[in-house]
Amino acid sequence: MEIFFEAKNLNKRFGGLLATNDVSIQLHKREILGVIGPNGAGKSTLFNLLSGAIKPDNGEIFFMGKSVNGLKDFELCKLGIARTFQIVKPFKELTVLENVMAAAYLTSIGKKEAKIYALRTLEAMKLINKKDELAKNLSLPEQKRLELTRALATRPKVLMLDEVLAGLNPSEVKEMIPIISNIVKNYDVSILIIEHVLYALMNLAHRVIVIDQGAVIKEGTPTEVVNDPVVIKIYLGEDFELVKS
Amino acid sequence: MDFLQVLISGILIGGIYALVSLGLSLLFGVIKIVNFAHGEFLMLAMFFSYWLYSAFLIDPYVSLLFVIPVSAIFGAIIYKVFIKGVLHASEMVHILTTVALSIVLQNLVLMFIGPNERAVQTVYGSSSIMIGDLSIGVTKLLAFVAAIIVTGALLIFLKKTFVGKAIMAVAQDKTAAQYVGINVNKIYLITFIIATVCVSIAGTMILPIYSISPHIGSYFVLIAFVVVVTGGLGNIYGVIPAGLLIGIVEAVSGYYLPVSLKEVIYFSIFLLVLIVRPSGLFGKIKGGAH
Amino acid sequence: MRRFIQPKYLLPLGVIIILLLSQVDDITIHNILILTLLYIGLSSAWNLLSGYTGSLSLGHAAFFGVGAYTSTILLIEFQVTPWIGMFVGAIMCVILALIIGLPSFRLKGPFFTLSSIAIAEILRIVAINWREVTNGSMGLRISFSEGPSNMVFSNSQTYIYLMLAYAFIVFITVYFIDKSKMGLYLKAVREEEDAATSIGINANRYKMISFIISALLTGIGGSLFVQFTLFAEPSSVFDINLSILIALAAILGGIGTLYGPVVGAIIIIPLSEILKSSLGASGFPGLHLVIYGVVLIVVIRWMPKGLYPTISSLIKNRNKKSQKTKIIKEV
Repeated sequence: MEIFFEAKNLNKRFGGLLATNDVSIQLHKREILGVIGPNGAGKSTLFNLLSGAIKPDNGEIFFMGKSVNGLKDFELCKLGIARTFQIVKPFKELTVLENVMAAAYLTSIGKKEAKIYALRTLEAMKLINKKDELAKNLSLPEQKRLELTRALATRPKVLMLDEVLAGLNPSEVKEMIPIISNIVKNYDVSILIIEHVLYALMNLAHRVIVIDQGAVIKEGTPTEVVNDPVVIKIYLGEDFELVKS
Repeated sequence: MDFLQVLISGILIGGIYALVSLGLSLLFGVIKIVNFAHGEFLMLAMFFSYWLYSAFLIDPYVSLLFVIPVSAIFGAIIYKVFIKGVLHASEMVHILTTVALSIVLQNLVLMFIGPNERAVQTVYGSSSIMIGDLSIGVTKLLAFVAAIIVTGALLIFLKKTFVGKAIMAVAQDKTAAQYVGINVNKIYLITFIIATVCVSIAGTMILPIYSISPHIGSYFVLIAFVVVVTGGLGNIYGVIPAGLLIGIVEAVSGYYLPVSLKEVIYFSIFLLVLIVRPSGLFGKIKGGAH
Repeated sequence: MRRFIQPKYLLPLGVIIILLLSQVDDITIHNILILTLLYIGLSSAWNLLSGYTGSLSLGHAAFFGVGAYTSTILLIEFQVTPWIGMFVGAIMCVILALIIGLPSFRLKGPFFTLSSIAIAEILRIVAINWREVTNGSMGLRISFSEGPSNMVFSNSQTYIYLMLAYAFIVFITVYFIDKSKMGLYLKAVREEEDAATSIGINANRYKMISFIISALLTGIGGSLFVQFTLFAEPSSVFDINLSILIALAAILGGIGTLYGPVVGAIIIIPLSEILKSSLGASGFPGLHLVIYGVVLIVVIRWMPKGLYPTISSLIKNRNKKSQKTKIIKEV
């Protein structure tokens, strides 16, 4: 599989804290790559570095072979890298349709085309019946789906999901999982997903990397990672063993 | 020798500017709002002192005994009626509320008292201390001293007392402060009162120096913004250095340039600092403000 | 009946009312009409920046004054017709917007507002002091030589039509922007700038574009205004109270909405003129300003969305309720 989106030796320091410590990461085409790690491990910082929200102190980022160092988030989006936010940021006073159209305009010519593509995406994500609702009136799972729909409407090649399952109850999580796996199938995107809900990642991710204290400490398939003693230790401490269910 | 005199004037004025700006900086550092009505608070304090003087012949410096408690009450009322209710809203709402307050206060005074300037004539008003060839105005010196004392007192209060530390905590991280049991709303109220008292003391101290009119607030608030931005928003340590800098710049440029361009100079410094070094010339922003 | 309380019916109705009123031969009514139409244009232009992007400007008088002085100086010194002069003024406003916009947009909330106030004040002081060009605080007088090419008319009715055209042009411009991609982008940036940039919107570029358009439309208003008053002076065209009134009209009517500024101007300007003439004379200087301040506080506190959105959602809710009762009745 070709390497699609890649970061090499990323470093980011905030004052005394080395939030990102020599991180290299590769995302292949049509892959779902999970990023896990304890709280404060530096996952969100990594995310922000990859999405252009903040600049690394050093290191390089490549997209489809070309360097995208220093590009801002809207520029990266134009190239095909989209992201969602851990705490959803819908355009509250706009309708669901307007929220998605704002994204669809990126790759559409004119209002009509943008509207058509927005409606299509809303339908695929099963939000079409809420299209004229104000975004602020949606429930949290709906807002998360909206966030996802909006990112998708930019026709990305890489989609970065930041704890998209956070705050959802187990049945809501169960609903989201096939939606996410279908995205790869239907939209030809590669997905980078930060997640705490481990069993979701087991079902979704092809590969997982584990971040702790800013550095990558393990890389492998979900099963490998979850069974790795080092990983278990950083999450649960020395005295625990993973009980296989 | 002339230049030294200009420098001394600048330093004294700078102290006055620092005193005027202290409350504004505190408000921004803790409550994170820009009080566009700050100048009007100053103006009201000046008029109150003036009234005490003209009606009861109370010397401005003595009137501090009344100004401090009255301004504390005034600050509390303003906070409860106008500020508290809009804190949860957007920044634009904050701006518009304090702008509106500024308009109302300024024009209410204008309506009832008229636009004419008044001045306080005291025995010592025009006297100065002579050091060699240098003349140091007594009233200005007293205002300068007051600036140092009030700033020092404020800093000691913030660092050594329990309430003061609570205020600093809220300034740094409001949410974390709540988690440790600090009543943020009470802290905001106390901070607002302190800021109002500070600027009211400033008003009383400058009464012997400046003639007052309803518009004097607009004149000083601009200077206060320049000082606060230059010193670093919310940075109490930066207020005096920034005030001195502005005072000296004003005195020196006043010597070489026409007086009417004074405001252009302030505004230009203000814009320059905002654009080039928004965190101020004198160090990092206290309280984690943007 | 309620179906007809919609902008697409009310606006043409409003125009008809204005045209009818203009036939009444009363100079006071004409003045009120002229100023109201002017402010409809100015507030709509202001709203394009402050309402749609959330960057609150309280210094729009800067552009008003630049437009006013540019066309006036060109007319007096170089006999350039104001019809051209006002476009030159608009270009000057664009330049000013470019110079101050780029650094200003980096400033957060209140600091953007403060810098806007600062710019207008600097220009006012410059206008007072640059006597060779602006004749200082004595101002510039436009000679009353009548004629369409001078944009000077003895008949105040003509000024009403002129201002009506101005209001219309500004409104139509904002209308088309509102319905377009740019309008949606601006609203997205206003709602959640981080999310907007994450979907590919170059927030700074769009803020800048709206700033430029807002500035030039305001400048044209300034040029037209001085052709009416035949007098350009620093304290009236660079007046901070002008900036505040423009903002107040839009906020009262509904900041960030298309029709808000129109509604706000229609309410506040006639009221303000009536107040000024009846109260100013009775020796309470500044009372109208106090009232502006109070209105602002009241609107912000209790009706922050403004009159138009508040009333139109009330009407929508009543319509829903009456539909529900209809259904219940039928059953």
